[in-house]
Amino acid sequence: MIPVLFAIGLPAAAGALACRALWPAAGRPGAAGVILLAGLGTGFGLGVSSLVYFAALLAGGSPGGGYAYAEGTGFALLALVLAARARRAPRAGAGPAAPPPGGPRPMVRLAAVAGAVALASFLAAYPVYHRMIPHGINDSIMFWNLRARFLFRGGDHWRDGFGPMYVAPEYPLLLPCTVARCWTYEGGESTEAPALVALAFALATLATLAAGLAALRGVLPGLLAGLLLLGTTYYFETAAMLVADVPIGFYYTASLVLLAFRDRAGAGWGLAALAGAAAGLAAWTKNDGQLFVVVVPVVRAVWALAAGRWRFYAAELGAFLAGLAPALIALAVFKLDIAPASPFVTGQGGQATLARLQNVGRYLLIGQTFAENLWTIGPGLIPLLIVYGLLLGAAPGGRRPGGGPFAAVTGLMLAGYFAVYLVTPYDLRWQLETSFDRLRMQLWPTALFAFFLWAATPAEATARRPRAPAAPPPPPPPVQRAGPPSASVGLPRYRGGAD
Amino acid sequence: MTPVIRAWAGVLAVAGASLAYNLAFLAEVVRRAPGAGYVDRVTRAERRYDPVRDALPQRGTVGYELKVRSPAMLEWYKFYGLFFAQYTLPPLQVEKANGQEVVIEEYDEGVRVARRPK
Repeated sequence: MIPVLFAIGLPAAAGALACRALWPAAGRPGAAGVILLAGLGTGFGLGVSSLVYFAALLAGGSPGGGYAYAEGTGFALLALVLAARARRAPRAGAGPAAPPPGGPRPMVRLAAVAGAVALASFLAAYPVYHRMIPHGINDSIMFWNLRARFLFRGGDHWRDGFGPMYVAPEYPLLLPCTVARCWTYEGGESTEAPALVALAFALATLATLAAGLAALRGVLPGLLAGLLLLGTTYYFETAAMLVADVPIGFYYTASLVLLAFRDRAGAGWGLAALAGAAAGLAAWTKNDGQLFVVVVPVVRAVWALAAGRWRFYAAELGAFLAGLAPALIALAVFKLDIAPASPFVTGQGGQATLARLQNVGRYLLIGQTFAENLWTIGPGLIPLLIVYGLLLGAAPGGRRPGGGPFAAVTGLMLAGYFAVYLVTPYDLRWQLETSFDRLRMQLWPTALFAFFLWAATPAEATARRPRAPAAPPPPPPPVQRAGPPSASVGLPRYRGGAD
Repeated sequence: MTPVIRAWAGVLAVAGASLAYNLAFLAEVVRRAPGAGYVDRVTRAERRYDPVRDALPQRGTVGYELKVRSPAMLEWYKFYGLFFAQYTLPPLQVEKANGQEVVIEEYDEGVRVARRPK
């Protein structure tokens, strides 16, 4: 197990310091900054190390034991150089420093204690659950870990794992490369390596979501989002199933969190490049991530058009595309040179696809499955969020750092999944039953992120003064003011001298 | 309801429900925890290949034929027998028996390797 911890820890440390180099403000002291960098660094480190491993495969087949020493030394040296640079670099711009509590101190303490208990419970249950299914579920046996075995054992024949007799040979390689790389560090196969990789991605998602929200909105919303993720038992199970849905969910979340920080910072190419890198790694994790690569720039462009921030967006797009490039190049090499054509693509045809699009029953079945599966997250956590939203309301407009575009990304991803199901050449009912319960977990952290960006923090909600009794009505203002009629309704009462 | 009570209600609802789900799941996992000597289904399927590994080629493609009769085993192996073989044997490629020279035959009592002239 120790070699696996090195295999995860070395790129994670280098990844955290690389994030710090591209986003100097993230290095400010404070728990939120450290946790956020640890989460982002783990995901980016593992993603980049999978690209390095893929390059080694292309260059000379399955790497031998010397690879671990060479690659490990490389990541350690990179971390040392970046750490030395970080000590000298100035800290400026918007970062996760000194987050506001986001609520009264007793509430924050209560949520912190609950969060600590939930995290301890998660960590206690994980190894027990792993013992039940040490090889993961059918998807990990049929393709993710199967492919890792071919990469690790195959030598010059590692490409044999992409033959037509296998399931989903066209799926990208982040997870198989990461697992095979850990085995290379270990010098042999174990079921602990994929389990620790899965746990690392789950904890990185939790850290990025909770610490990102803590820095953007306050400690309490961060803790509540983290608690909700820890309370989503199917998220836990999805992680322990050793499938790619939790890793891809990490990259979605990281990309959106970084863009939210860029919105707050107002400039800087580093955050956009990191967001692009996260999107690219999502595409390198699973085919679903290719949709994310398209959806994010489109939503950001619409948002820029609406807000009149074209120059801001143009700079962001350039850096985002630069960040995307390494993972997309690896994906292009894989798709063009190694993977067979996707049955999803070859299964389309003018008449066949049109017939699927015209079948109302398919829309109803997909809609029903989506509604049932989303309503039962938790179960009942989405209704609970609705109640929370009704009780606390939306964040004050002036301070809201833009939950809308992030909710739109989540919604459009869901719409994209809907469209994919609509035209799938496979049996629709079977595909829905065997995949959507996990797909919803990809988007659950981003949905929580968008929700807590939108919702008022308890501090904001309690700062509102209660409404006065209906009578007597306030006297009419002496001078008719310009502006929309609704703008003055009720507002003078809240904006008195004391406020 | 005052804003303070509303905020407390919201936070308590979210934190309480999340923590309750989390702890209930921990209890469920502990209750279902495998006892000593537990061997999961995939490991058991893999071990069935241990006696015949040396009889299989190092590389290339072999066939797979399911000859299991027991209903309890069939329930799983009719769906997963081939996948278990594919998962167990990389870098050897395994596909449904279709005229290959070497064929893995999966019986109730174990796995055999058959050599069939082309």
